This record gives sequence, C-alpha cells and structure tokens, in this order.
Amino acid sequence: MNIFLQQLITGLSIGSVYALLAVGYALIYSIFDFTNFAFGALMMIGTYAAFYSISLVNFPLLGAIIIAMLITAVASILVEILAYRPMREKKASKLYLMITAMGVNIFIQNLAIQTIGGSVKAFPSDWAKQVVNFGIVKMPRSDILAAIISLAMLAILWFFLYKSRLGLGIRASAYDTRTAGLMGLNVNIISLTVFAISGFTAGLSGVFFGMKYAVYPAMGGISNKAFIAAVIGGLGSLPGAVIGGIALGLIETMVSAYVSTTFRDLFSYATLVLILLFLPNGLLGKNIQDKL
Amino acid sequence: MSDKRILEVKNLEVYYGGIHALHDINMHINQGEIVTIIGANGAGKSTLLNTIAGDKEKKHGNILFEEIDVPEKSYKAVERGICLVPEGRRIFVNLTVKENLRIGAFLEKKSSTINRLYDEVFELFPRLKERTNQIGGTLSGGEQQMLAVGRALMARPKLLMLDEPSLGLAPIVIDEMFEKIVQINRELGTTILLVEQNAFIALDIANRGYILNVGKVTIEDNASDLMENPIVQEAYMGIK
Repeated sequence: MNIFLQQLITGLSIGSVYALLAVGYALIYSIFDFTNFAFGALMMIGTYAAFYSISLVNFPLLGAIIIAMLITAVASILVEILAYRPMREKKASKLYLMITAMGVNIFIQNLAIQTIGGSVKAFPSDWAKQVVNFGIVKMPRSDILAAIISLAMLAILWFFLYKSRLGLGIRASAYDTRTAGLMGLNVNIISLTVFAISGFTAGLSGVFFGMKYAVYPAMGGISNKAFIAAVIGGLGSLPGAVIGGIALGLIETMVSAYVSTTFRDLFSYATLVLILLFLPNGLLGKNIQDKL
Repeated sequence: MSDKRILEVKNLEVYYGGIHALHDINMHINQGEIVTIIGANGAGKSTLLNTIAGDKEKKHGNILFEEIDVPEKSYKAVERGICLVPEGRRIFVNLTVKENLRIGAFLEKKSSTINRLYDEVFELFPRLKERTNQIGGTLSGGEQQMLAVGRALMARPKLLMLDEPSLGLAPIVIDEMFEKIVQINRELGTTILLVEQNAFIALDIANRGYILNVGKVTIEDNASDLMENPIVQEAYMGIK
C-alpha cells in the first residue's frame, strides 16, 4: 500500500511535467496542424539556461527557472520566424513542416554538442535533491516543486486561453485559421503568442527533467514522452494533453514499481501503438486522419 | 446611394491551383449599393470574393477600395473595412455565440464600443440574444447564418460581402435572411456585394448585377433589366 501511494504521488509529479510539455505540443498542433518535433531541443536549451544561470552566475533556483523560460521562449519564436513561417508562406505541406522541425531538432542538438560538449552533468542544486519525509511517502523537493509549478502554469494557461482576448483569438484560430484571418486576426501575432507559450512550457519542463534526471544535449528525447501523452489525449486537444500527460506519468511509475523499470519505456511506446490502433483520435481529439 | 465608387476591380487575373480562374475582371460598386454576382458552380464567384477579401493572391490587375489598393492579407483588408461572410458560414463551432461575435470585433479593445456593437447585432437578430452563451455548433442552420452575418457586422465593415447566404437554408429562412440584408444596407448604410446561385432572390434585392461565366464577366446591367434579360432568364432562372 505504501509503495502504491509513493508511486501514485511520484506518477502525478512526473505526469504534470509531461502534461505541461504535451500542452505545448497540442497548442502548436491545434493551430498549425503539425507536430513541432524541435520541442526536445528547445527543452534542452531551457535546461542549459537554468544550469548555467546557477553554476556560472550563481542565480537562485527560482531565478534560474524564469531565465530558462524566457530564453526558451525566445528560441521558440526564433525557430518559428526562421524555419516555420517561411515554409508556411510558401504554402508547404504539413509533412515538410514536420521534416523541418526534425531538422531543427538535430541542428540545435548538434550545435550544443559542438559548443558545450556532450558530457552528462548533474543539475547544480543541492536544495532540490533533498528528500522531504511526509510520513508514509517520501519525495525529493524537485518532484514537489515540479508538480506545484507545472499545475500552476497549467492553471495560468487555462485562464489566459479562456478569459483573455488573445486567448479567444488562439481558440478561434485553433478551430479555423483561415476564417480567423477573414475576421481580422493577424495569424502572425497568434503564432508568436503560441510559440512563446510553448517555449515557456518547454523551458519549464526542461528544468524539471534536468533536476530529475541529468543535463546533457540529447536529453530532448524525453519530449517523445510528451508526444505520446498528447496522442493519448488526442492531438490538438489541450484538456486531452493534460489528461494524457498525467495518465502516462502514472502508467510509467506503476510499471516501474510493479513490473520493472527496464520495461517502463516499452509500456509507454506500447500505449502509443495501442492508442493509434484502437483510438486514433485519442481520448478527446479532433477527428483527424494523419497524426504528424 | 451615390456615384462614388467604394470598390473598383480592374483587369483582375487570378489563378486557383494552376487553373486560370478569373479572366480580366472589371467591375465596380458604388457607395451604398447592393451589387450581386450571379453565376453557375465553378464560375469563379467565390474566388472573386476571396481575392477582394485579401485571402487569395492575384496574378495581375488591381483591386481599389476607396481608391487605394487592397492588401493581399485578409486581416489587413478587415482593417480597411472589407468583411466577408464566407461560403458555408464557417462559424467557430467550439465557441459560444457571444465569443463568435467578439472575434468579429477582434481589433476593437474598448468594451463600451463592443457592448454597443453587441446591442446592434442583437437588435437585428433577436434570436442570437436568446442564445448568447450557447456553443455555436448547436445552432440551427438559419441561426448559424445569422451568427456569421452578425460576426461580420461586429467589424463595422463599409463593404459587407456575402458568399451564398442562402446555401442549405429553408425557403422561409432565406426570405427572412434577405430582408435582414436589405435592412443592413438601408439602416446601417453598409454597401453590399452578394454572390448567389439563386438569381431570383439576389436580383430582387440588388441594384445592379454582374453575370460571371467561366471566369469572365459576360453581362453587366441593372438588376431589373437583368431580370428581364432572356439569356439570364434561361441560364440562371430556368425560364424558357
């Protein structure tokens, strides 16, 4: 029973970080109909931004998190302006956009290896590594922080999307970008907002993954998990992304506890395959054919 | 109505997916007029409206609105005062009625102005007021068309373009819709460009009309004369 409770709490923590990252995927997919596979590299930029703000400039952890979010948002906007927007203006098909995203991902990852080296580093925060004892469950501070900040960020995001004018514009564009343009919405402003938001979520989750695992240039591969989460929820659906993220977090920690940690990723990807086979629109997704 | 030209299309050529969709189109609309474009399926009517709305690139020619070229970006055309109610209504079915209307006035930030615009639309379409918080997708076809027109009016257009507003509606609802279009023209002073397959009803409310045939303007005349024109009667009204 204690193990179950421990794994439940840990699963919710990792799940909320997956949820955050999955929302970033879903937001871009909902408007531009392609999966931003550069997300992993952006996440890695966020992790390194936090890493160096602490190890070089001695920033406090919270300050490092904010720096990570801002720098990743800028990187995300740059990728949009330099890579995706020119493709869209040439009316390139969604498949080319996805391939561009993969190219950007490889480019940023290799740039990081060439400039800062490929070695694996530990996240430089001793505070975050300390374990808090709640009696029956024990949790490292990093997991608690990840859960609280991720859920708070999701709440802020919900508030922005459902209560603000720009949020309304994003929801309208998500349904029908062309008609939104006909009603006077500047798609470029919408796209900058969306890429900034997804940059914030990538940077934030990057810091949490860095704290939980380690800091290295190829760490963006973890974002595949968020992609799985987004597919479980139904690509393009934001509530679906949150549900998918938390579900995947729980599946992983339960498999780790009751089956084996070596089977964890096997179960994650098996879930992806099963969802695509039997529930191709995910739990809450739009009715769509291709899931690129 | 005046003789001042609010819109002038000169030598317009448009390609649509490699097909030469519009050939050397010349037309104009005077301030305060209702003008209709009549043509069969695939004649290029929607392409013409979309091009005027800045949503389609032109290959050649000019579209002048109040004597200045219309930019080839739809959101900029809205800023200039051109608003299109697209074919098939295309309301945002995931948003409420009120949110749909708010999108129409997206560029407006003053809440007092927005509330005045809501009232204006609700006065014209009282049915929408009853459904303020209902999700757009749950409305009937006629109500969705009202919402699409109301949404466009929120942008306070000088030129309102309607692409087949009668599509898929019951005859009684069509009559009601066209009465509203006349009311918008008379009471709000909005110039109207109307595209229709239903030539009878369009010529009934229009001042002038253009017949579009396979991408070319073949006839241009007053609406009442077009109604009497045997070629128009045979091709577009089923009268022999």
